[in-house]
Amino acid sequence: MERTGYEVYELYLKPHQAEIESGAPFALEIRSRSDYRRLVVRARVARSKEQLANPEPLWVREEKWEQIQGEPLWIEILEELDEETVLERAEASREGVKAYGST
Amino acid sequence: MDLREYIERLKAEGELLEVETEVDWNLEAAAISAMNGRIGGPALLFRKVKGYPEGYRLAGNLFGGRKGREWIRYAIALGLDPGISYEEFIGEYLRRLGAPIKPMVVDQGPCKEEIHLGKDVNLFEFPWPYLHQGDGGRYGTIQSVITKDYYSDWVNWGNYRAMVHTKNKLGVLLSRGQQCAYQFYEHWEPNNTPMPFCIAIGGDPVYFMAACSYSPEGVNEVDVAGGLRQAPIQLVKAETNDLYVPADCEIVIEGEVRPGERMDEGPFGEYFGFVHGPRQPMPVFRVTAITHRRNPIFPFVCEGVRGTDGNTVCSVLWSIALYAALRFLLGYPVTGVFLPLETPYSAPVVAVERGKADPGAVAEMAAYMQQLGPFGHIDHEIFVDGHVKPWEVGAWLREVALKADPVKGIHVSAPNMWKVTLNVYQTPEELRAGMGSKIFIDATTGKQEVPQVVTLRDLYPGDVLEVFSKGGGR
Repeated sequence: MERTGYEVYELYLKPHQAEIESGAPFALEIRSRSDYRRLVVRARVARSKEQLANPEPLWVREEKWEQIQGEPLWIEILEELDEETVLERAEASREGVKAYGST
Repeated sequence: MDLREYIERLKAEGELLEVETEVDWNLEAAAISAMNGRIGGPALLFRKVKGYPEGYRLAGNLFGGRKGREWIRYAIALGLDPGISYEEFIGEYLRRLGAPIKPMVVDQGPCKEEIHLGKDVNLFEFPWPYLHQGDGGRYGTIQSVITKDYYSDWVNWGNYRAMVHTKNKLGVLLSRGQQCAYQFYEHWEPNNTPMPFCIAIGGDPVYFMAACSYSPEGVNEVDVAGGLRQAPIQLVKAETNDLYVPADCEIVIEGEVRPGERMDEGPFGEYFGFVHGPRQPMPVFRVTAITHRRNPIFPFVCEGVRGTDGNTVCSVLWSIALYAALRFLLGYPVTGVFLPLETPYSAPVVAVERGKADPGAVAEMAAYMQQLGPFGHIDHEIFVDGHVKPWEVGAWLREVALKADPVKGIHVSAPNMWKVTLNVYQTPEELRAGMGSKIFIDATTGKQEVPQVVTLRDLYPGDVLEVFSKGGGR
């Protein structure tokens, strides 16, 4: 499968497992796979495309070495937020990185 | 000589391949460049880039080199005969390094042919390449980052990677210990003041050489560039800050880096050869203006593979700078220094004349290289006897294997040496601190007597060798 759509760090998603399970929207920093532009969006993320009205692939950079390995999640972008938006990093995502260096 | 003239000279010397087929900025140009670099191929000019206007070009391998003659393109950049030997190149390069020339300010320059200000700024107007599968974004890798010190007139030019975040923001890798990082983290940021910032892309090839030189703190690299060119570099004032930029550049990006602001930068396939980076919060370059030549050429380096521009700048130029520092600045009896392509940036080999160095000289030289911020990429230093040519890998490996005492010959430093934050073995704590331990291996014999070396010439009668030689042997 060609990796079109968007990509995200697993560590950015970690604090949002409850929203992913419930289908609730949340703010997230992603990058477009078409031009690698940084985007901050309010979106729904799901494990199956059938759970979203307008799904696009969301490739996950896994915690180890932060490379894409598996099949994508799916994202429905509801709103693109102001690019000045910097999301506070949850402590949970910081804790997860000790083995691999990324912070 | 601007970048376009340099490319013409490369062409005239048979050192350029012009690629007419359209290439994709997304991995394709980088892949071709990487493969080309590994076989010591020519410089590449990609004339058509997918999704970009006619005339917008990419250029790769501008300073890569032919295998075994990695200095050729640097010689061409300096207007020298590409047939020059490395020893002759060292002499001329050192002569020019020792004669810096102050720049001159002009009113206009080709870099102002197109001017975009404020909301008209769009970094995606240019074909920043996506260089390695897994990089955090699209990168600029061969450029002069221009910044001024907060407290003095010192203007630093350095070559630091920059990742495009948005149409007007870049993340810049400012590793502690490096000079731009020092200016920002130690001076501008504590004073809660935005640091004026410019990135100059393209222009005279000596800008890359100067920006990558080991110039000490307080030395303006533009003076070094003038010395290398043997003429004053022409500078024009930036549109939106008080910095001055080279007038002949292809693209100039202007703006500021604000205190306290960070966004994640990396991962990146760096010169150590890993797509690692790692991702870290790094200062953000907010772009307020872009000026450029019409139909700009965007140079790039695909780091991480053998033989790229970054690899050769280290082996060809930094080796000379280290040699000059150890031999002429500090006065040690060093006969040669080389940072082999095989040990990217990490392991300089220093040859020391036997019997001439005082006891402790090797440790002093090691400490010098270990402690200075600009040498943050160096973590293993190897010292061998002066008869060894450090650019002959097999020769110095043999010396290490045979002469370095496994206990007394290996010396580990204290854990507070400046280190770039790119090594795969660093812990997150070491990455944040930008410090760690280093080692040096002492394979010199100093004034100690060594037994007869086994050589054909020394151990066997001449008539035996003559018979062997007549039989076709060597």
